[in-house]
Amino acid sequence: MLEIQDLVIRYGDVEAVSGLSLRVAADETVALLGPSGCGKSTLLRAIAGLEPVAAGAVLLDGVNLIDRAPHERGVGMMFQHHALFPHRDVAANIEFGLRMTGIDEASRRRRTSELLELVDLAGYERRDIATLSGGEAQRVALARSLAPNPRVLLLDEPFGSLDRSLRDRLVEELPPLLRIAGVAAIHVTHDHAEAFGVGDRIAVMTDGELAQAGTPEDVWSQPASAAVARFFGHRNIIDDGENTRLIRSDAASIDPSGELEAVVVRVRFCDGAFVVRFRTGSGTELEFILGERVDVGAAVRLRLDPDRQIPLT
Amino acid sequence: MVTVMSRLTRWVTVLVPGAFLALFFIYPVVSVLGRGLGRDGLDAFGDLASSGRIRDTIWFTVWQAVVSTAITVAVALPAAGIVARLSGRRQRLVRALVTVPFVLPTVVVAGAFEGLFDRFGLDSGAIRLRHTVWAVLLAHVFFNYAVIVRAVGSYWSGLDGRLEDQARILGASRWQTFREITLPRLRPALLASSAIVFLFSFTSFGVVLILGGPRRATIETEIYRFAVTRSDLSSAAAMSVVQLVAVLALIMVTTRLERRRPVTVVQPQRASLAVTRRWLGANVLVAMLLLGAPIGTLIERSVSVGDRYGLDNYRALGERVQQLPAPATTALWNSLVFAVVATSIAAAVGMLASVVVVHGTRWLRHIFDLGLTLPLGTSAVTIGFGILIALDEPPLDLRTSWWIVPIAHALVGIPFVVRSVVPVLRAIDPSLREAAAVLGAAPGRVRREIDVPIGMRGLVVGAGFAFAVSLGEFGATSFIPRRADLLTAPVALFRLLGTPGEQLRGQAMALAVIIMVMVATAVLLIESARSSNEGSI
Repeated sequence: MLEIQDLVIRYGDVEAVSGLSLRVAADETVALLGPSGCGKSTLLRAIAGLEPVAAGAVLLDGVNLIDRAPHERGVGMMFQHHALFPHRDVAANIEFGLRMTGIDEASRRRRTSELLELVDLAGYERRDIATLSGGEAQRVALARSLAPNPRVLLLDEPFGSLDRSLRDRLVEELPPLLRIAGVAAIHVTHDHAEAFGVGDRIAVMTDGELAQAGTPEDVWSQPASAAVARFFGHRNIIDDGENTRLIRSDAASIDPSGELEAVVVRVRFCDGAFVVRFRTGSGTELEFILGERVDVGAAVRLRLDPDRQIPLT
Repeated sequence: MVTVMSRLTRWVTVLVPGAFLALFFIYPVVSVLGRGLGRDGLDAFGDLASSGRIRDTIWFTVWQAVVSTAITVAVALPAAGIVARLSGRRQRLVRALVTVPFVLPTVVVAGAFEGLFDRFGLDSGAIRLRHTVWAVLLAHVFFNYAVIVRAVGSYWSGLDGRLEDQARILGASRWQTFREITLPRLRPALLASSAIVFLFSFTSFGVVLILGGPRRATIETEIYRFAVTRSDLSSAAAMSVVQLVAVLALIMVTTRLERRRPVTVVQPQRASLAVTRRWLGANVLVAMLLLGAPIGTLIERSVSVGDRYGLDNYRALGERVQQLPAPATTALWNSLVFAVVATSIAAAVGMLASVVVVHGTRWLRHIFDLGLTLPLGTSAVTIGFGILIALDEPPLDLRTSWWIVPIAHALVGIPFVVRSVVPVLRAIDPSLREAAAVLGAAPGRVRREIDVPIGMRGLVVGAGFAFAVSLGEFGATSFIPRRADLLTAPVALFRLLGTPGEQLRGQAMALAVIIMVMVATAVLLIESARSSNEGSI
C-alpha cells in the first residue's frame, strides 16, 4: 500500500503541492485528475523521488521513501512521452530495470517475452524504438515499467500524446493489464473521461490540494466544490448570492406539472440522447440531458429531482 | 566510497580538458601576446609599420578576402537556388558532392591547382595563373563554394516558394522576382555564410603560401615567413597579435550574424517555377570546371610519366629525395600514426570538455564554452607558432618531442569533437535520465547507460573530422622542426611542390592523390556513421 502523508513541495515561494495526503491500496488504481498546472505531475515526480520534497512522507508498505534516491525506491513510472531509450531496441528497453538489479540474462529474456506477450507485442524484441507506432511505444513503455515488478506504478499522462481513438482503446486495455500485474497505480490525467475509464477511485486535485477523492460515481454525482463540479463538465452551477448549488444534467424531466417554466433555446444530439439548453423565466440558462426530442422555441415545464441537486461549498 | 568516486570523476572531467587547453592552447597564445606586446615585439611592430609592410600585408589580406567572398557568392548563389529546388534525396547527394572540395587539405588543393596550371600551360606565357593573385582567389572559391551552396541552399529550400509564384503572376520578371522577393529574404543566411567565407579566406594559409608565390603575403604567411624562414620571432609575434585581434573581431561579427538567423518555416513550399535547362546547364558546367577540373587534373598528372601513363610517380614515393628528411611513404605512415594519436587525444579531451559544457556549473560552462570556441577561431598558424615559442624550454620542452605533432593536431581537432558532441548531449530528453533512475540506475550508471552511448554518436562524427583534419593539417605543422620522424604527408607535399623539376612534380601529384583519398575515405565513413540527430559543424 502506498500512503502519502501531508506532502509539501515548494518552488521558491510557490507551493506546488500543499500538505496533500492520499492512500492507494495494493491492487488499486487511483486516477489523479486535475487541470494543468494543479501540481498533479509534480506530486507524481515527488513520489518517484524526482522532485525535492519540503515536508511530509511517502510510505510504501509502511517504509518511508522520502530520503531515498529515485533508483533506490523501487517504484515504476511511465512518462508522458514514453522516454524510451532511443539507442536500445525494444528488448533492451524492457530489460533495463532488471539489468540494474543484476538479474541474470536468461531470466531477463524470459521476463521480457512474458511482458511483450502481456502487452500484445510478442516477437517485438529486436525492433528499433524509432520504428514503433505511438500505441506500440506506449505499450513498450508500460512493459518496461512493469518489468522489475514494482509495487507502485506511476503513470504521468501516459496517453497525453496519443490521438483520441488510440487513447480510447488504451483506456480500455490498461486496467486489466494493471490488474494482472497486481500493482498499486496512480494515473495522472487532465481528461475526466480517461480518469473514469482507468480509475477504481478518482482523486481530484486543484491548486496543489486534494479537492475530493472517491469512486467515479461519487465524485461525479456529489462533487465537493464548484471547482470540482466545473472540472467534470457540470454546467448548471447556480449561485444565488447566499448558496451555490449544482443541478446535475440528469436532474430534469419534462412534466406538465413540473415546478419550473422554461423555453428551449438549443438542442444538440449526443450519444443517443438530447442535450437541451433551456432559458428559465429569470433568464438563467440550464442544460439537461433528455431522452426525447424537443423543438427549439417550445415552452415546457420541468420537474427537477431534489436528490440530483447538490449543495456546493 | 561512492561519493568519493563520483567526486573524483567530476574532478577528472574538469581537470583533464582544462589542463590540456591551458597548457597547450592558452599558455602558448598568451606567450605570443606577451612576446608581441613586449618590448621586442613593439619595436618590431614599429619597424614593420614604418616600412609600410604591415599596412601592405593587412591591405592585401583584407582585399583578397573581400574579393574571394564576392566571387564565391556570385558563383555559388545560383547553384544554391538550384539545390534548394531539388527533392530531398537529390539535394543531399549534390550537397555531399560539392562538399568534397571543402574537406580537402589546403596543400592538396594547392597541389591540384599547380597541376592544373602545369597541364594547361598557365604557369607562364600569355595567360599566367601560377603565382598570381588569381590562383589564390580561384582556390578560395573552390574551397568555399560548398559553404554558400549548403548554408544558403538549405535556408532557401525552407522559404515559402509561393511568394515567388505570386510575384510572377503579378507580372515580375525572373530577375525582378529574385531581386525584390527572394534576395531580401535570403539576407540572414547569405550574410552569415559570407562572413564565414570571409573568415576562411582571411585566415587562409597553405593556399596563399603555395599558389600566391613568394611575393604575395597575408598576415598568416608573414607569421610563417618571419618565424620559420627568417627566425625573426619578434616580428612574427607582432604579426600574430594583429592576426589574433582581427580574427577575434571577425568571430564576434560572425557569431552575431549567425544568431540573427531566424528559424525556417515548418512546412516549406517549394517554388513551383521550374529552372530553365540552360540555367541548370550553365551552373553544372561552372561547378564541374571549378570543382572537377583541379581534382581531375591532379589525378591525371599523378599517373602521367612523360608522354605515357603509369604508376612510376607512386613507386618513386618510397625513395629518398634530397628535399625531404625521409621518403614520402614514411611521411604518409607518420601522418596516419599522428592522426590516430591526435584523434584519440581530441576525442578524450573533447568528450570530457563536452560533458562539462553541458552538465557543469554555470561558471565552468562559460569558461569551457569560451576556451573551446577560441581554438576554432585562432588560426592554426598562431597555434603552431605559439607552441614553438612557448613550449621550448624546461620543464616543458616539447619542441623536439614526438608528441608535439599529435598535440598540435589534437588542438585543431578538439573544437570539431565538441561541436559534434555537445548538441547531441544537449538534445537528450531529461526524462530519459529520469526513466533510467526510476528503473534503478544510480547517477553514475545513468551517465554510463544514457549519456555516454548517445553522446557516442556525436563523438564518432567529431572524431572522424578530427582524424581528417589531422591528416591534412598544415598550418600548425609547418612550424614543427624538419625531422624524419616528425615529417607529415602535407609538409612533405609542400616541400615537393616548392621544388622545380618535372620528376618531383609527378611525385607531389601522386602524394597529393594519396592524401586526398585518405581524407575522402575518412569523411565518407563519417557521413555513413552520421545518424539523424548529429551535431552541426
